Amino acid sequence: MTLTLRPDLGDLATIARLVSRVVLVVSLAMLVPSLLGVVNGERDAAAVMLFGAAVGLLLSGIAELLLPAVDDISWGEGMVAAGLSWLVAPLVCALPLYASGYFPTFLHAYFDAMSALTCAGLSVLNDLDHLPDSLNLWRHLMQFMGGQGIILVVLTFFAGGGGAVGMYAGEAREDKILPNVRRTARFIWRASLVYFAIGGSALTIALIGDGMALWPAAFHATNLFFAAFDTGGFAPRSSSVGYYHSAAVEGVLIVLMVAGALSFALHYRLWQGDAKEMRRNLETKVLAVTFTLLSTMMFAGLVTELVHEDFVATLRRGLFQMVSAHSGAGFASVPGALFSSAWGVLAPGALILAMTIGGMSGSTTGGIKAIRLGLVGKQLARVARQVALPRDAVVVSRYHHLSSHVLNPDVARAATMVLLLFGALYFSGTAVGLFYGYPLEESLFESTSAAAGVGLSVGITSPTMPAPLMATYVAQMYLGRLEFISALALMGYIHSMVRGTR
Amino acid sequence: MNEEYRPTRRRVVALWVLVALAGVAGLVGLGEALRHDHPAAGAQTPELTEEIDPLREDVPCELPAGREGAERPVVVAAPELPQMVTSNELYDCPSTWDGRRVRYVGEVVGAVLERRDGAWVQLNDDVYADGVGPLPTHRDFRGGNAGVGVRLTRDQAARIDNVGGATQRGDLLEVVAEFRRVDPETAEVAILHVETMRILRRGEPFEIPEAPGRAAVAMVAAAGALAIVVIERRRRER
Repeated sequence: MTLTLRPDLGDLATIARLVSRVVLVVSLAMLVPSLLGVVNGERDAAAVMLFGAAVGLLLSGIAELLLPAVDDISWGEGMVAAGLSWLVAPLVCALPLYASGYFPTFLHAYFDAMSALTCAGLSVLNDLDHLPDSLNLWRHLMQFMGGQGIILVVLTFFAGGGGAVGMYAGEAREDKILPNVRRTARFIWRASLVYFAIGGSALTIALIGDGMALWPAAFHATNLFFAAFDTGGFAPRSSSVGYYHSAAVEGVLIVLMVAGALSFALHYRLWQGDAKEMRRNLETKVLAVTFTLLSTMMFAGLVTELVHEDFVATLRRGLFQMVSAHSGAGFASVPGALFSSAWGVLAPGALILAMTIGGMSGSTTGGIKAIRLGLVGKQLARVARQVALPRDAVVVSRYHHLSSHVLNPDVARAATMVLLLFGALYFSGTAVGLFYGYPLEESLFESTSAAAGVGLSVGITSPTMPAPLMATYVAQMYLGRLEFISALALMGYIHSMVRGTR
Repeated sequence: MNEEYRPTRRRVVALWVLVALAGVAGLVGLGEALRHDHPAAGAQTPELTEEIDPLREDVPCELPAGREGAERPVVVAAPELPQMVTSNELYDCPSTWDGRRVRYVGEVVGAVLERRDGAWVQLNDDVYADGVGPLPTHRDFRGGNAGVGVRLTRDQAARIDNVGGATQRGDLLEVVAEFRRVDPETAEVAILHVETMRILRRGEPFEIPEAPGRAAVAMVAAAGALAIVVIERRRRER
């Protein structure tokens, strides 16, 4: 496929077929909350979930009937299909949300669906605290699918070929842990289920210990696990994790958020008993440095502003919020308004910086990612050394990321480009926030949170926010989740359809 | 690219884009049609039976305006009564309110979390708690949820019968409490430590308005989806 020629009908049919498979998978997932609605006696909510599932299945079924079978997918088609899938899937996912009557407009429902799938965790839902359990589960299930990768979900069930790699890479996953994408996908699911069994149980026990009955505790634990491990940041209650007033819950969530911020490739190595990789990996080192520096900056801010005047409270809130921001989960253990009204400047500044970076590549987090920061840092160090040496000297920079690599200037350039694109994305959302009259710090905080898929909020994101700003955040979440590449491929494809030479 | 190159004509692309947009519009329209059939505002919201006086101690806040520029009402001092506050006011000026006795009204939502030496509840003071009532009983979408975590004694917590949820309004409480930026006993942040409480209104189940045709449309769509799956399976077997 070339972008200078207009795509042919076969290309379009292939892409449509791939997108329809994503629709099929998210539609099947809707049956889970629908079933919960039936069990819970939430007839109305069960009906809208069934409606959403049926419409999605109808659409994908029609596509299966009308479109020719997909036998060979090119890398580019996979990329474009990934870019398009991430626009279409939230559309289908938003349908039951909108029909439920809890959102004023379809844009609100689409915002929440995009936020859930991209694991941003910002929400414009009006009355979360009166939401039926089945719809609440759907919000969190979307985060689970989105965090794992909706393309990955599809690849788990459908075989791929070259295009599968394109789709897989299209949703910002590059690591092939096992020889083929399908086996990699299955490993990711297996690892996630093990964490679910352990993390979900620990959360349930913690919640029961903190005064919740068994069933609600299990329900909250399931949702919190989805949001923590997939670094989504939704919570079953509007006051987020602060609702539970529980150090035990926060402790378990910290472990799950850290697990979510590690790449699945690193999980695989750890599962294989290769603990050395943890020490040698460039991403681990970068995260250790940034976490230490930013935590120091934040604690300095909290202490000088006398935010808590209590060591335990400062440590507990500070640690939780820093892990939440750095991992991109976006849970809040304090009311979000306090970030701007009580935390001074330094501590929120540290949170913003942590949000921009995110976790590891190939994890469920958003943001620039530690590997890119590490590569850019290595390249800067290499250039600095080169300047200090005689002109003919050759400086070779090495790094370890799952295996040993020599730093290739092309790789460093690509990392720098994505880093710059993320910077532009953060500032563009900030500019729109400023245009609507929000203060600079709050605009920057919220824009970074949306683009990096974090979900912490100082209060700008609300059901009453201006619609263009809401649409801006939707675009930021989309571009940030896909790390630009497949979105750019989609734009190029559209351009070639309109301006192609034949 | 396929071996036999058949470039798509622009007109065909435009046509399919229009079809896709029409499809999206149709889906949104169908979603709209399935929403609940009810008035634009909450007709089911009961009137409060007890008067709550607008209270009394003038507390200056260092911030000139509330969230999103909303004006702060200036209240006249009457030192014998603690001032009535909202959750937004507390969060906007936590230092100002720290250690002060305040009055606060909110609906109990979620659950009563009983601990060994007390209990936690979330008291919401948004419009869905004590204004137009919970969604989806109306289409008055005014902002999101807002509330404060409240620390009660176990005896006080035992008086709560109803907590708000998907089909239930929670008890509406008025509490006189100390606002604590950091609670020295529990290390919790921005909470109300309750001295006295009274129940202004008992919670009760609320009726969700009819959503005519929702179940029927869902069943028909499900049957259609099933039929498509069966047809597709048979085709594949052939």
